[in-house]
Amino acid sequence: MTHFDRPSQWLSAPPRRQAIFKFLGLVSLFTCGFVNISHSAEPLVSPPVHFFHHGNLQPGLVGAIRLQSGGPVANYFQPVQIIAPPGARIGFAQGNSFSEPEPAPLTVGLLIGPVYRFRIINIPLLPGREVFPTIEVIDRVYPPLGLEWKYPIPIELTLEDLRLAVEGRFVTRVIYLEDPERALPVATDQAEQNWFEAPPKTDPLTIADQLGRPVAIVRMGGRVPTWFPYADQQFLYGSPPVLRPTHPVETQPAGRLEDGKRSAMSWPANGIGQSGARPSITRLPGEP
Amino acid sequence: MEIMQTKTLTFRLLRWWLRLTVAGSVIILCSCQQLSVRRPPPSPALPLGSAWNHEAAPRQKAPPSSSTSSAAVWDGWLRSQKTDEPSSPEEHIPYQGPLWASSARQEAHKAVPAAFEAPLVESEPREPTLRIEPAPNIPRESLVSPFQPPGARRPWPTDEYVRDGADEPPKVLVTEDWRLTGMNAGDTVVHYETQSGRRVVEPTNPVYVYSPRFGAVRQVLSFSSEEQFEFAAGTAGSTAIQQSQRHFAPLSSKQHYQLQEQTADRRVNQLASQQGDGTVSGTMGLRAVHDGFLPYENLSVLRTGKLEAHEFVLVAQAAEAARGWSHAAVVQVFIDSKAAVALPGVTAVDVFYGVEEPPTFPKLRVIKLASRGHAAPGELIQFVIRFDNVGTEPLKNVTVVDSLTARLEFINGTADCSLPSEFSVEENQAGSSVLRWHLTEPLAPGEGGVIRFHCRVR
Repeated sequence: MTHFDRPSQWLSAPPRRQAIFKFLGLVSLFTCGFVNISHSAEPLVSPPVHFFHHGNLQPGLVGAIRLQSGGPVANYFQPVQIIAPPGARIGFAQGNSFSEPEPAPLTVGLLIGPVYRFRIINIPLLPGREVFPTIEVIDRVYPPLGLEWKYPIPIELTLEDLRLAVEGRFVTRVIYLEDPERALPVATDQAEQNWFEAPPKTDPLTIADQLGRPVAIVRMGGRVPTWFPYADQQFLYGSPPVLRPTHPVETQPAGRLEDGKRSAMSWPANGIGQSGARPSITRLPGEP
Repeated sequence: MEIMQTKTLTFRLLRWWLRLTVAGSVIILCSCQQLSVRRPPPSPALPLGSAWNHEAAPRQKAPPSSSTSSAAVWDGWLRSQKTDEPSSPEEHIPYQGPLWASSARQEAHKAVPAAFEAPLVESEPREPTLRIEPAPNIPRESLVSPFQPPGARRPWPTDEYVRDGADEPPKVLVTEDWRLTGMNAGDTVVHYETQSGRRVVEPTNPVYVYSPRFGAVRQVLSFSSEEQFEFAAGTAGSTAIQQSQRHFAPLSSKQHYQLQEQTADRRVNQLASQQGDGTVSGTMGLRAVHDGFLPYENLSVLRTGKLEAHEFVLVAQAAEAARGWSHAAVVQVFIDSKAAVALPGVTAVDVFYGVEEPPTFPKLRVIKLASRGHAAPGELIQFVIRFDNVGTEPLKNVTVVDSLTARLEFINGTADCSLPSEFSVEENQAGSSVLRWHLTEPLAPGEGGVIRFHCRVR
């Protein structure tokens, strides 16, 4: 009986032993290859997973599923610009309360996955009424470097939506990124967003997924804080962190007061009209 | 004893296999660690773009080699490293579109005269007054390399970019009546006709403009509580059958028509033109002779140009006799004042003469550029198309066709071409426009032109 203590002795082994060695070597290679494939880089674009979900799921569930699908979406603050009728003021959940309401439009960076609670006051034609919509960012966009704040996700809250929410209706808006190959040949500007009305017993998320890539879900109506100004954390969804731009953001043109009628009022936000400013991007240590 | 030795061998083999597996796992873990080091995981405090823009960072230049490592060289290299790196995050160069587009844009800017830098205003079509310089020396490889956003790995999200240019499948073809098939929205091609009558379609490079457009789907629901819906359980009315329809079986069947003839897609005149004009002059009959044909030359191939089968031997004898003459008295054949060479045949005994000229090379280079790499809805973009005849023969019927995507709206009066051309605008299937420039004169080798137009992003 021949012993094989060294690998150099394998070459002089009988053919049957050599076959066993080759078999074990192949098993090792396949094992290494399988482990290597499982650690391959994740693609940027994920498959359209939202098509299999519904828009009426629990707030935060669709975003959580998107986080589980991988990609550079975790811990990324996606710039979002909330557009409201002229005169309205917007505050976001901060701690146990809401931040100081700011004039619309409000541009902030929101994490993908968590649910953000906002507060809309000073609604035109609805004095004294408040709406507490939620915004759930479920995907991000990939603008060129330095243009993150120039191309935020616009979330338009029309006066009709706010009025329906005040009247007790539940309004769901799914914001999607339009597929340029199937884009509508209509001229739009930055203040007017194309939107469709999802008929009853349909899923707006499914429709939005067919039209493009859903990026955010807005829900409003139905819920008000139990007591104000210190609402419970369940209502505020834990007040996730919000990133504020450190420079004046190039704002969108004036919004609409009514359907088909655009207001001539200018937004009284700070830094409006200062175009050309580049955002200040802080980098990782070690990055140039 | 034999069983014990076999077990011992098996245990040793398993031990070696375990060592190999552990070694492989260590190598893989090391490679994964390298990946994680190259792409640090994001943290909650990271700002925008910090999780994936590492590849957009400027790369360091390679240090000088050891053979040239003098103090001056190292000093210059260190200074170049210092100047390449931005001193603060605010000094980053803003994104100006893809790298190849930027370089090509600079080259085209050098080649196009200053008259093309007119302000962005709508103007009436006018006569071309521009003089185009020779084609810029733009490396072809840099133009056809696939575009990729900075810092993004494949597959990158193309739904945020508006593409205009190139020829997406199905490929564009030119029909007999000069119609284009396979022209998709967003395609930009140039088709021309060569000297041999062949119609060639040359696509441009794709131009990507970052211009995301968002839409919304709204659904309004009403809350309801303690409501009960009642549905009808059924109908009690009964209706008797009043009429029954009898189905008849088919008594005859219709036979499908068989194919009787097939029409060819292409005419055969191209084949006739290739063999008739340039190389073979045998089909040309004699125009005039002073005297009658002598007996040895009274052949059909000389009289009419047609070679009969029964004359093969006579022609072969005459050809051999001609070859047997002295060099000074050898038959000298000239065609169009050019020395002809014999074209030996395989199946024929006669000798054909032709002129061997360098083969013509029809080639048109088309470059398309955009004035900006990103645009919001409502903003203007200027597109420039540069075409150059880089072949060796003039091109006829050069037509530039640009089918705009649905996101681009052509602004009337902004189309301009440096060469005399006929411009027309049609509507395409995407709800946008098809721009067409037809050059009225052939494009000679070495010549080129520039087309410019403005679009508004929808």
